[in-house]
Amino acid sequence: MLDPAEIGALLENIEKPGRYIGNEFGIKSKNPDYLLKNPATVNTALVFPDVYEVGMSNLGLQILYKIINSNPLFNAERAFSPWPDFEDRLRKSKTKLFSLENRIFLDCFDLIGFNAAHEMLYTNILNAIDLSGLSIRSLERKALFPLVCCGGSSAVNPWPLSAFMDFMVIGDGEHVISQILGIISNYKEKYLNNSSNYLKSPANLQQVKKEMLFGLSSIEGVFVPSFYSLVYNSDNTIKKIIHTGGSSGITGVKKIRKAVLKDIDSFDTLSDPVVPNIQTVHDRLNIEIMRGCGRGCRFCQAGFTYRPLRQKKVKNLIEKSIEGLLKTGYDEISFTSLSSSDYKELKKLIEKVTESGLFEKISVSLPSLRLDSFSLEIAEIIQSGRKTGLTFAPEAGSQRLRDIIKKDISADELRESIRAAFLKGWTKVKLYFMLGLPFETDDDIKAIAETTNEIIYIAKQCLDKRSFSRLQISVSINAFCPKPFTPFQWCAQENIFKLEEKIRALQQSISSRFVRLHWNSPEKSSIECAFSRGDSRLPDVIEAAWKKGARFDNWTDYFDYGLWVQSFSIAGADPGFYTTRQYGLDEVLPWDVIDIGIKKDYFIKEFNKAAAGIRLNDNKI
Amino acid sequence: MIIRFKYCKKNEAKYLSHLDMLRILSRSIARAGIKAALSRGFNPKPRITLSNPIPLGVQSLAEYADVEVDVCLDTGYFMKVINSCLPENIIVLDAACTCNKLKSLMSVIDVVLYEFIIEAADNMSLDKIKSFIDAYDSSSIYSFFTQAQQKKIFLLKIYGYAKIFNNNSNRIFKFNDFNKALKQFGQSNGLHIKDSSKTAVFIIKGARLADPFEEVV
Repeated sequence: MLDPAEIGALLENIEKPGRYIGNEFGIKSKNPDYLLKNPATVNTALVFPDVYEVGMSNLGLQILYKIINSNPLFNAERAFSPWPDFEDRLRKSKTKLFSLENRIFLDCFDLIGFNAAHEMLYTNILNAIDLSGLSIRSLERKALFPLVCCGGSSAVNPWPLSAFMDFMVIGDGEHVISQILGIISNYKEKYLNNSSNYLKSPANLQQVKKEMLFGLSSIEGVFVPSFYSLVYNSDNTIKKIIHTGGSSGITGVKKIRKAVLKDIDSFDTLSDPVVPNIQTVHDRLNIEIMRGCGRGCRFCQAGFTYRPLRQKKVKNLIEKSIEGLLKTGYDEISFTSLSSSDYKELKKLIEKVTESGLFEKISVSLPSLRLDSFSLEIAEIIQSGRKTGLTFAPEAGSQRLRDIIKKDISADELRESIRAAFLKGWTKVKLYFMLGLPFETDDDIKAIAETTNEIIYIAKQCLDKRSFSRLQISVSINAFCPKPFTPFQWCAQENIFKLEEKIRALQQSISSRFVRLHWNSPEKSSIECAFSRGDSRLPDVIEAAWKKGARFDNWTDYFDYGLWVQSFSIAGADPGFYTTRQYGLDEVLPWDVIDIGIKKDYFIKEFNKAAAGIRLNDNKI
Repeated sequence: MIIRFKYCKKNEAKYLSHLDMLRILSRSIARAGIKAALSRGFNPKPRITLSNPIPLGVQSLAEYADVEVDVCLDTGYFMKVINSCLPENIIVLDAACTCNKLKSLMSVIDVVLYEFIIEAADNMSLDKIKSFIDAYDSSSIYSFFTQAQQKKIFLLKIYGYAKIFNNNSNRIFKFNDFNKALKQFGQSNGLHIKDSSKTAVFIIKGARLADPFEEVV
């Protein structure tokens, strides 16, 4: 544990010291006395590998924190990535990364669990392992504990992080976490006292560790990377995936089946999260209303990997939302899911919570609205009085391309919704589009400009002079990134120069003073793509980049494309192999080791439909 | 109606900023089931005002806040519920309720008291500390007090001005500047600041220093 006397010197002149002190309302960890009296308690550090303000906005972290701490045998504490100024302080003072609650050094935990929420966090994960005083590569960590694991959205392709993790969890964590900690608990108890003799022999230690990992690999959704490897062809594609460890006698490869929480109401919706003291990115009560999405947009990874679609019961949600607002003191609530306007009883939920009479003023936010009349009705309810703005995601400019990507919005719907929005008094509209989508032509890009110009034209018709002068249209452009477990997983990503050219073309064709064009760096998108579709050569790239100082790659100020290009070359890998290359439909894909619950044939069928320009309402698997 | 309360920010809570405190107190009051009056406008916020901000990293035993409520509350009850709803290391120490209108805390607080515990190499350092104060910008200091506490341990109390008076050519006492100067002076004079904290705030009433609660009673 960190000596309390040291924290003052450690935090002197550090930016936002509130990030590192814990002390929030709603902490659930065991206290030091309890841990002293119960030495067999299994200690887990839950680490979100970004800065506190981002990590504390993550609902998954709070859900696991609650589940673990509800068990008297287990203790969970939180840690986040230190901002570079504090990392520097930790390294200079030779202080290991510590948890917020009891300030336990991370290498003293039994399990360190990372949230691999997206690919651009990978260097931060390595950095946090290193700051904990541990070897970043799993095979070099000889001690029984801590085990290092990760889960989260981007873990569905486990290879880029495979060399660093003892195990990885694919799918929903609610049930899995208790099973994992149960097994760890058995080993901890067994070797807590007699470790001095038996485990002193390195051979015994490695045998016990392997046995423990083998036990963990029997849990649904758990992938132990050291038990598998990829065999490559001479052209660098994958020849086969082989099973290299665990029990002998296994022939062929058993796919790791994604863990699925079948009954979404079997775990109480979290109503008492830790309430941060400093302002976070999503500083409000987050209530998850659905998991999964029934839309099946062909570019969207979450839409496939979070299936099946599970809606929570509205009665429970109303109760837990009200309870949560009372318990946390928040005055804002967000109903989260991949597509919240698809929740059948959304209107009832919002009305029951806001009109419960318990709160004078509650603001509601919804992360994702569709462009239809129902969404507009909802937006009108939640933005009554102050119309802050509407966000729509047509994703593609033309109907043809929207059909190809299966984005279910027609040009008429779009026009009518926008018209209705202006008539109801909105003057700020935000639009999301993707560039470099499969089968995209120059006409599709022109259509983005045309759509935008048409919106200005509609605004002119619907708004009076004064409102029209306040018109603000924000157009946000992202580069398409092919993701595993989507019908577009084989597609090539557009190269950076072409993407930049397309952005420039758009800039020229959208020149109205009402429109602001934003775009995310195609360079970052290209690195993200390489990690999404990477294989077992990618760990060397991440390690090289981390050694060169890559951190916080999702932060524009810190992302350094040149550094990444160098790192690929140091590791002897070609980024283009993972990004601008069209993968073969018959190729063995790195993520074939995971069974996401959807057959590859389905993705091939969907891809062929896209190629033929067919949009069918077929979401059945 | 206004509830004026005094609270402390101890230990790690000293790393929370003025704006953090505003948010923390608003949420704690909401958790306690106390309905604060709301400000007007499209984005109404609870009507809570705080005493003068203190620098990040300085412990305080005397922070004040005013919260406007619709019904007068028993102050004992208020303290009990609010203290069960606050994060660790932030504790409400006293409270009073009034129907009168109050001038804002920031406009009435005249003087802030900071206490320094100073460790010295020898027992004769009291004069050194006094000489430092004498050399320091006296226009920002209302008064000061020094005392030998134990062997080689001294207490320094600085009553610094919190605002500028029209009839006076004073300056505002800046804790960070003073602290830095004292630290530098200490390095060459064998003095070491062991601890420092804000311990009280006052309103000047003639020749007397009054507690902000006097406004309420």
